[in-house]
Amino acid sequence: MTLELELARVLAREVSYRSRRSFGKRGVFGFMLGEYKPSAVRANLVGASVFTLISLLISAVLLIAPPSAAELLFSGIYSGLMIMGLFIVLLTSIGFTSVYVGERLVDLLVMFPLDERTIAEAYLLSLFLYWGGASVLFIYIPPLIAAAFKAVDPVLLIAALLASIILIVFGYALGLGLGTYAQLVRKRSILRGLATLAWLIVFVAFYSAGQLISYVSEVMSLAELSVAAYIPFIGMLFIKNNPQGAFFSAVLSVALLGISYRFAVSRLGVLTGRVQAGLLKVRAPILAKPRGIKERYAEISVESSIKGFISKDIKLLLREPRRLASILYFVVFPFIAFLPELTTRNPSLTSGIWLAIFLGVCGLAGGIIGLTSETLYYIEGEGAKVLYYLPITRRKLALAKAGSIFPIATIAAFTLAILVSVALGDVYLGLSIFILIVSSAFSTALICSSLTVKYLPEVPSAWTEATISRAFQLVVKLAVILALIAMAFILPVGILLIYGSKYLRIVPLLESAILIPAGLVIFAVAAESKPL
Amino acid sequence: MTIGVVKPDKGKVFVNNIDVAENPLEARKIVGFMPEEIVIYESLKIEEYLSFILSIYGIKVSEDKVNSIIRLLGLSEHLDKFIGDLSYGTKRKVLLASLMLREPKALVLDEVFTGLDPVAAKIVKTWIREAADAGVPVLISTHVLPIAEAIADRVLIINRGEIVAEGKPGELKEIFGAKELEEVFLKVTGYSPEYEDVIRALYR
Repeated sequence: MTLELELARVLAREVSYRSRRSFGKRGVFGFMLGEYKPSAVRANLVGASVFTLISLLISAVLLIAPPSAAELLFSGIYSGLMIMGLFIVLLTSIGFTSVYVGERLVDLLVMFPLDERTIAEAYLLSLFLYWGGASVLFIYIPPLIAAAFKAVDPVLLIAALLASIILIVFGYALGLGLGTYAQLVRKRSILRGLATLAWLIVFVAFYSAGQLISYVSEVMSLAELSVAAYIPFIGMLFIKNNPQGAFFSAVLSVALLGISYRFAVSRLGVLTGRVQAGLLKVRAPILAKPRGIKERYAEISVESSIKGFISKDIKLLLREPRRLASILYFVVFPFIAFLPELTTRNPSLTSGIWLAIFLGVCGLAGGIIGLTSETLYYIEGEGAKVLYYLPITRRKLALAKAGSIFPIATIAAFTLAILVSVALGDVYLGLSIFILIVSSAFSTALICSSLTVKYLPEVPSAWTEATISRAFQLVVKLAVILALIAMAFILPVGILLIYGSKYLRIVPLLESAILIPAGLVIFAVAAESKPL
Repeated sequence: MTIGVVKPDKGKVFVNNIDVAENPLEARKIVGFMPEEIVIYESLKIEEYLSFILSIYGIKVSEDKVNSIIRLLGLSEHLDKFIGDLSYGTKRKVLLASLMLREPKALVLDEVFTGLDPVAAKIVKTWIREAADAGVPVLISTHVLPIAEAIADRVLIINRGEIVAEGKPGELKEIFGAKELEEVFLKVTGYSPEYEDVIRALYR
């Protein structure tokens, strides 16, 4: 086991280094850990603490609940935590495996006389011990303790424990299998689309779970919730209310576990470097070009340098599903936040405090879309060194990166504007939101991008993804977000209180009039006209 | 240094009368630089990369010219692949294609023949010769001395940051009484026969 542990440490360190180059951060809480040092305690400590804290806060409700409601409440809380745990497991395992496969780390291992079992064990130990995979277990401890304290039926506790164990193993097996497709995803546009959608679902579920759960609970009655007993994994928690359904759920869960296990085993060869040996045979000299090689006429499109940059950035972004999804999350954020109001065509959204809040959320979402311009520096990857050989200034680079956010923000703003115009029958409000999102996004993109280029290294050899300081980015983002929150919410609420509801319609124009000059000033000061 | 990424410790670098330290952007516009390390966007396809580079330089070229260079370097069959999926040598050919299409007024090529197959190497030699004959200054750095001997008009041998020999290949061979440039190099850089004893001892 010593060899496997040593290999696991090396693998974790290598994945950490490569993922910093490719993703800019490591794992779910990697940004909090700084430079990676392989230690099982260190790797799991932050995750375990955060998960325990979140779980503790949620589970605390159980302690104050009346005994009669404790079991149903426990089932509900534990279901939510199980779903959250599944997404964490998927994030961790897919992220780790995709870097491991994408960076061909197995090539480093197969050079040594190591058998497949040793490599597989090293991989799993690396994922669980040194990548923080074990920390997810801590999410389940507080509700179980709280339930035991409230004397919840032990049958339910055992069912919950079993369900969570099955779900975790299922999640890791699924994540392992899916992560091995990392290289294939880059090559096939359909898989890229699916991967982007999957990541978007993960982000929405992870960050907007509260909104979605409250929305579902609003549209579903308690009676309908008994159907939940038939849902795999979480259905087992409803064993007291619907034993038949819970049994069905258990059977389905075990079947899904079996499928995911088979899937993971079938993909294990990718992780261990198992390859089928080809036959080597001597061939006659080839004088003619081999058949079957497709050649075609190349098409080149030369645009202005800024357009060329934007076109390149968009292409790079479209080929990175995880990063694209992280931007798209903020695009769909306003839709999720106001899903009930928009789907029920709630007219209160067009006036008063709701309108003020709606405008605030849209302004904030636009601003955050702009802040994701940082992602456009990360997608450069190792290719960023190209920038140092080109005749471009830091100023032009900052403008190009901010410009790349423009089409994304425009699509988001346009879609929301159309939705608002149709759902609420208020075209003027739709137009206002369009202006608000686009101007906020472009301004914050310009601010973030101008400050980023200022601190890019002087020489290409100094470039790694880690060069863009996470701490610096965090400070910039926090400062901009705080300013945005202050403006996006205080301005409309202030206008509402002082001048009344009808003047709220000028908020987008006012915000644009503040944000755009602010962005331009920072651009003029920070983005210098010197080359990289 | 020829494109202003690295600043000289002392002295000045001029390319086509442009002071590089003073005006790196102008230098980058005219110099075609090929680094030894492959510096390229691996998630782009060949056409996309070439479109990007030509857009940045604002160079319009006919599609016939693009295709003739792509065919010349054997890149036609790789057009639908991502650059990251290409072999080392093919990636270098993509970099070469971007330089050839730009027709730079000066060339700085670092280990330009590394990873190239004999056909591509021959094409590059011809390209360099043609460029030099057309008056384009070409600076090549290489550790492969037969290549330097075959194509260079002037050779500078640098050892530990110092120029230790300079001249035409023929002149250098004559001065050092050597048959090949490699022999000149070994003489001026202090090659010791004892190194060979270390190697011979490995399998004994």
